[in-house]
Amino acid sequence: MVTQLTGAGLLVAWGGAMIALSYYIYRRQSVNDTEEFITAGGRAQVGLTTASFAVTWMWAGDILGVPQYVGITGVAGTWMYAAPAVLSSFVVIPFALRMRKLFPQGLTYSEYFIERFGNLAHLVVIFVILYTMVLGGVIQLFVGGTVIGGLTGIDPNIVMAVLMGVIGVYILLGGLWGSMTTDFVQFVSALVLTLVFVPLLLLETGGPGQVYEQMVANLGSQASSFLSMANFNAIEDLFLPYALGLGVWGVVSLATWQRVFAVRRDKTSRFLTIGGIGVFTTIAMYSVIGFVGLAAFTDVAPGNLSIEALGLMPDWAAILFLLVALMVLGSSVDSYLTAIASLTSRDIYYRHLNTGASDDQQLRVARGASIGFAIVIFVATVFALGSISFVQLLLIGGIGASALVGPFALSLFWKKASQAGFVTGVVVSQIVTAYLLAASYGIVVSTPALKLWEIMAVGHLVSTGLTAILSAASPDDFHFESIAQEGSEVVADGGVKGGDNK
Amino acid sequence: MMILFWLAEAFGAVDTFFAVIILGIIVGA
Repeated sequence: MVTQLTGAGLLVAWGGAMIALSYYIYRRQSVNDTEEFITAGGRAQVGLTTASFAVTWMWAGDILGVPQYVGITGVAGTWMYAAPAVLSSFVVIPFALRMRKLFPQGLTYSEYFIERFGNLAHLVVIFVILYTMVLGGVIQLFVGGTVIGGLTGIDPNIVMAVLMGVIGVYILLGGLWGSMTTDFVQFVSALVLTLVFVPLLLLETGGPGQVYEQMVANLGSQASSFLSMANFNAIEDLFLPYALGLGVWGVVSLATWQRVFAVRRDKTSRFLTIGGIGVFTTIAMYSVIGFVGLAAFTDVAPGNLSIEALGLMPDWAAILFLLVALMVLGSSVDSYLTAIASLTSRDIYYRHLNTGASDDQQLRVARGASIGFAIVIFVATVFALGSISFVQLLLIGGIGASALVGPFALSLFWKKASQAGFVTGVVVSQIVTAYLLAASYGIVVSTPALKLWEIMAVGHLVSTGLTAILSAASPDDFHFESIAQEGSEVVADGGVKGGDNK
Repeated sequence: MMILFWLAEAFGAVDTFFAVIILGIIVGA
């Protein structure tokens, strides 16, 4: 257990370092216009973007979640948790390549829906993205308050307020540049956790051979299934809900799209590939914490396996672990907050409320939104901590993806996809999955009680099916080449219309 | 009825896969 004083010192040191770094990048990159704030000028190098993408996907919850999976199903829990997370990076590649070809001037991917369909479709997409991004922030903060508060004895609400205050300030300064630069430092910190502390934990318990023997002894008759990669017993409860929800979450996440638009256009698939595979290796290393837990304890619930196992580390390592946990947590929350600030500035303010807004006005709104939504996420997390479990929260976060991925794909690759089909598909899917989710938890209604993966599958089928059927009945005839030619100062080859320089 | 994971992670090495996973499940069965 780390003392309250040490915990408070770590929070202050982390906050000071992140704000100082963001101020440095704000000055270095001249983050004084909307394009720099939202897309880092579209010229970020592949190393910075890959690190930022990977560490955004390394959720603080993984440190708890992966050992929990191992505690439930053994070594197979490694790929059951990691594969859906990696799937997102793979699935988003065709979307990203198509979008960067069709819509090179994009600042947020949601603006594409105005060009493709119109304002109604855009408003529907904004709604889904906004609550999905807020939920993403709440999920991270939920874990931060629980873990850091639990390890230090500081009130979780105070921990969460400090976290959101610091993140809100450094995003206000540096926008996406601030997010990606702090992400790089946080990425290196996450590597230290997996490459130094996890092996240290393994050695504290006698090394891999000793851990294996203790696992066999502790698990008894369950050892053969728990030490098999082909243990499919928990696939319906653990793998499928994540694959159908969070497995396609990257396509919906504006945080992913900001990095897609930020990286050089000729490196789009490379950063998604290396970043995605890197997330798998990181999650695989977290599973070792679960192996140690199974070897060291015989009566610990899977959900507590991670904290108990990490408690085996010496005190100095526990303090450094806490600092790394802060880093991993900050990297994800700051990405969602930057995304929300961009959405508020471009998609809501500029596209619907003040279409003649100057660049300065848009930038002011983005900066205001970074503080405003930091408060919203904090309040929502305080509410969530007292009324919902972490797993429920995590799965609700995947519902938005089940409504949007299929219709989005149809809109990108099928010229007959219509606004009526798209809007109906997304809205009806959201209503149906919300009802089924409420029924599965017995909230207001109780039938039909479907499994979580079945609810996700219904969401995908309804949204994609309705979009396809209604579009086929009353088809659009969209000319994709028209998107890149209208209303932009940047032309399709990435150059500038009417000249070599801006 | 692997801890390769460490080497793979050590990924980290800082003009404006599926086959290995499937094989691992088969071998580790």
